[in-house]
Amino acid sequence: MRKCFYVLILLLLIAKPSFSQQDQFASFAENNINGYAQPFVTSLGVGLNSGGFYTAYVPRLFGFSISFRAMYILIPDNQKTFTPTLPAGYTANEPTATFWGSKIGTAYTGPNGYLPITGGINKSGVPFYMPQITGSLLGTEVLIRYLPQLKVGDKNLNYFGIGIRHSISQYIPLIPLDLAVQVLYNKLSVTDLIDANSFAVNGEVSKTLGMFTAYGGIQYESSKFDLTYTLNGDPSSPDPSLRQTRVINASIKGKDNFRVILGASVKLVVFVFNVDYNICSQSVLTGGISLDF
Amino acid sequence: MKKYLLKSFTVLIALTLFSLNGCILDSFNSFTQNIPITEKFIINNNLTSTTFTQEVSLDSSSIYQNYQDKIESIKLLRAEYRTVSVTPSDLSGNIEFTLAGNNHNTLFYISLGKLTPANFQKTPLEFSLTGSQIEKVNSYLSMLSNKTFFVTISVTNIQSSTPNYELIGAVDVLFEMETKL
Repeated sequence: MRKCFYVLILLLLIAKPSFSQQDQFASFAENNINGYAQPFVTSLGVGLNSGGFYTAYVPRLFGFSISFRAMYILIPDNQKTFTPTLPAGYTANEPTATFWGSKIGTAYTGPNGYLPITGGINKSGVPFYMPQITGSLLGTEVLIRYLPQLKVGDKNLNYFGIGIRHSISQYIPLIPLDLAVQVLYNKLSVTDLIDANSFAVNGEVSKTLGMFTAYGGIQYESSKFDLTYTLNGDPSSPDPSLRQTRVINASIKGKDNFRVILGASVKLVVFVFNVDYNICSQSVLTGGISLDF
Repeated sequence: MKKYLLKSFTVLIALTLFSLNGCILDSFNSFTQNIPITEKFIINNNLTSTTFTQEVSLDSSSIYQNYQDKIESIKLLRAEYRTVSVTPSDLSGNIEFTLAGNNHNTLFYISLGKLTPANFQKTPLEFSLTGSQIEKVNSYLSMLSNKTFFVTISVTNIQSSTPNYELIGAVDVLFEMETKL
């Protein structure tokens, strides 16, 4: 069953980049890879930076939980297209698809014939999953997300995430709400292909009534994706930058900067079910199930 | 009890993963790519009309070669005429273009009328293909073994301010290829 977890997480985290490396990204040079791949990087950053909490309460003595987070990231229409940089004589009179955009890319016309740009995968939303455990002591909680090193083909996947959350309300006597702050860091890498990092810091508030908790927060975040892939050169391409087969190293920053989180959770014995909506560059619906002790 | 809870939790998560993953992974089953094919031609000397036919194949595209064993379908998207170079600039003539399949059956014929090629050096002339013309080409391409075309270019009523002229023109045809991965 543990293998099943890993394999399915890998399908999301790895199947796409490795596929992309061969097909989706392989016809982009340095000038357009950022515009094409940035929405994908944003999704990855948004996913990694989601699901950090479902209450602002941090146990003052001891707490432990095992959680599973499922997110559904909504891709806005304005991140499904971008305006490419074209060689002299060509005009980008219409935008073309990003990684999430239409499967049919745009072919621009100019003095050296058609210049086609690869399309996307035509998706308006993408699911994302995350197992995590937390342990808390004296109002400070440590969150760990981890996958043991996995071999995928000739590549090794490494994923690690850590978060630290600290209760602020414990210092304010008689406050009717719980307040906390949290810092999150995630690192995902695939040998010679991807090196992705994300960082987030948030402020949280929650109010618990019986078994129900309403929670919210604001979060500043960033994500970066270093991608290495081989450009399939086409000697007859009208774009000189696409004529030679070569290795491209691109560093792409996600467009995720700030989010507002609104959610609710219910605790049934040791199970906590939560759902929250994150308003940000790519809004996210997050659901979670936790075994909370 | 604790063991039972943990097992139920794991099964529930696995089921969620299976059901959600299907839809996104389906997107990676196919891949769409555009294939441009170019046929260049040269007209010179002192002729007032000329016709020539050349064989072109999708095999000439490196994109086609990369995916040829995974192709699901190929469709014609559009075609254009452009001038690579022309001397003198006032050279003019009537240009007709025919695309035929490997059995020389005409797939479409288009007359571009009287053209001054110098006007199409920076901006190509897009062919106005009808739905039935495109459908005929697509029907030919539906047999994936049909990847060869015969391009016939006919230029008549050539007029020029100087007796020796040279025109290098090109016809670009853009196909859309869907591949199964």
